[in-house]
Amino acid sequence: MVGLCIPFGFFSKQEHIVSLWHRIPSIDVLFGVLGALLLIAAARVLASFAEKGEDFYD
Amino acid sequence: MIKAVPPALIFILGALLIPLLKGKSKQVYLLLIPAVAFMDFLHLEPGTSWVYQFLGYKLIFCQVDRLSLVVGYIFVIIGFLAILYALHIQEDGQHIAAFLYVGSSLGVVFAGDYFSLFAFWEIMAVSSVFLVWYQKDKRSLDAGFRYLIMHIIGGCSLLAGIIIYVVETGSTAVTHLGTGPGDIFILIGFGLNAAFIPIHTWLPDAYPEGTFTGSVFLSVYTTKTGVYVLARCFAGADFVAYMGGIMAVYGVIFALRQNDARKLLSYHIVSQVGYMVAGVGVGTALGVNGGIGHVFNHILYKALLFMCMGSVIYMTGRRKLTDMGGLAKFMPVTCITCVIAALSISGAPGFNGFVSKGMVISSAVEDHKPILELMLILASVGTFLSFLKLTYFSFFAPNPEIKAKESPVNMQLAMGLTAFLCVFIGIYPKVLFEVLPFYPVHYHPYTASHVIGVVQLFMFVGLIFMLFKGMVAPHRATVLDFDFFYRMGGRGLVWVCVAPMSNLRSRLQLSSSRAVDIAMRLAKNPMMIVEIPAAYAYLRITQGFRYLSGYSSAETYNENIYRRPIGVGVLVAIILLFAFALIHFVF
Repeated sequence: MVGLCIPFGFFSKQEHIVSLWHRIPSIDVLFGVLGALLLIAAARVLASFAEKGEDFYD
Repeated sequence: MIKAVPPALIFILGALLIPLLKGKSKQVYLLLIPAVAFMDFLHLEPGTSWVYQFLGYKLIFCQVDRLSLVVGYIFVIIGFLAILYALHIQEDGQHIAAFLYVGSSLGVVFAGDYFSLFAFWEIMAVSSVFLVWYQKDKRSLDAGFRYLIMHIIGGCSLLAGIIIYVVETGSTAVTHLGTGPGDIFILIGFGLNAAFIPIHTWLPDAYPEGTFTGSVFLSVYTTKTGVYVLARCFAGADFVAYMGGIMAVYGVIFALRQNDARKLLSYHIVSQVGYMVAGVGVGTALGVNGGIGHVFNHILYKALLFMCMGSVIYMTGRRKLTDMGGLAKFMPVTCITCVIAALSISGAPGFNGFVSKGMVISSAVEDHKPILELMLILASVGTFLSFLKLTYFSFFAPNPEIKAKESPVNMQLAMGLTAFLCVFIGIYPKVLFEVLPFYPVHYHPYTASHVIGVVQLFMFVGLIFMLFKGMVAPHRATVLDFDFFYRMGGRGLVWVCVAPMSNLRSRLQLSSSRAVDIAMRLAKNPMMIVEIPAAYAYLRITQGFRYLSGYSSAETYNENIYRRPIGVGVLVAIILLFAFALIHFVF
């Protein structure tokens, strides 16, 4: 079902083509996958140095 | 014809009567005040009214235009819904604080000059802290003080900026500002309320510690008045636009690591306010409409999210995601409304967030700001990821131990009405477009590419969530933010005050006391000025001899032995006066 939504991107017309990625069909799939992985990784990196015990400030 | 009064006045005066009422009559009265305020809105005419002279400056309490009206409308609507949600609360103090908070926020929105804006700004800070303190535990007390300190600093910056601006321009009118020194101080003051990074820490620190009803009010007013004044004074500033992008991404990254449900929501306020700030910073008609439209929509779904989590906390006593799970079957109304709010904040088609979020991102595209566009898309991904986490781990994750009941009827009704508005605006955005500052609105949210793009984004973010659920699962921890540095700085300041400064004070006090003591002795006997060095030398010599000869005695000092008659002092004074006169007249 997830994969089925990809072809729809090839048939829809982008209204405002300003940047390069607006020309790529179904670019939002890539944004979704890469964005989610990037944010999970960023949150892990943040946790590696900024995460402390629950009672850290107490 | 009925003359409208400043809406702030209705809430502020309304707050004073709350303690006089009891039972059902009080509940009716609480709901009547926002209804009266809404009726008052219908009589507000564009332009300025309620103008007074103060120290040669104009105080304008009611400046009405499309921008102030749209923000005022949503402030009153959500005020009504939040009061409905908190209707069963017995403590008058909470209601009074909430009314003063709503009233002062409306005061800021309709203020036409910086002096009255500043006055309402400060009332807003002071009244809102009580919504945190009414939780009545140590954590809320401490968080409330930190909140207050940050807002006092922001208020000082705002006041300094206003004074510099007024001295430079001679005007107090709230208008568009630039990059002058006063303008920068004002921007810092506004930016603190809008949760600019890194002066945002008061928000995720204080909001989760408020009462469960107080947090609903808190989630609405302070940051949105910040966005409103930015739209009025700093629309089109690039710095503001990119600050919005940074806030949007920063908020979601921190939200992903949170375990406390309301702390997660608080970081999402930072992120969502980032969208509004970005739209305002872009400054085009679409950008400002998008930013203010997002204020309108965000107030609805964020208040709803705080209502839902407040409902869970109220009914289960649990605030951490690690302690929740499985609540969907026990609290179906809360669960359904929370899912609606989560879809709204994520910007799913059919919900209000889809409309305004699309406007802000489109404004960045149209204004040729590709980096900003990517930041906002990334934040959108993070928002959906976070709310998958929140709804899954609070309502759907297995938890055989949990037992709960649905919240009281007034809370369910408030949640239901707010959820309805989220869906209604999502399906019929024309209602929103008609009240936005720049009218008519040239934006069509439901285009094929927009809907398909968002659906694709959600599908694949959902897939990643399912695959990496373990990596975003909540766990017991505290994530340090910039507040770590402020707390360390605060501790350093306390240490400087307690140790070196206190020591310095003691030494100065001792030295001053000695100086006064010597001055008193000298005043008693001026001859001592001459005799002290001689007496000191004599004392040293005799002590030396005594030490060498091994003699010791416990002699006590008697000042009368050394004191000369007062006549000698007078004689010395006359001689000195004579010498002075001789020098003056002869030479």
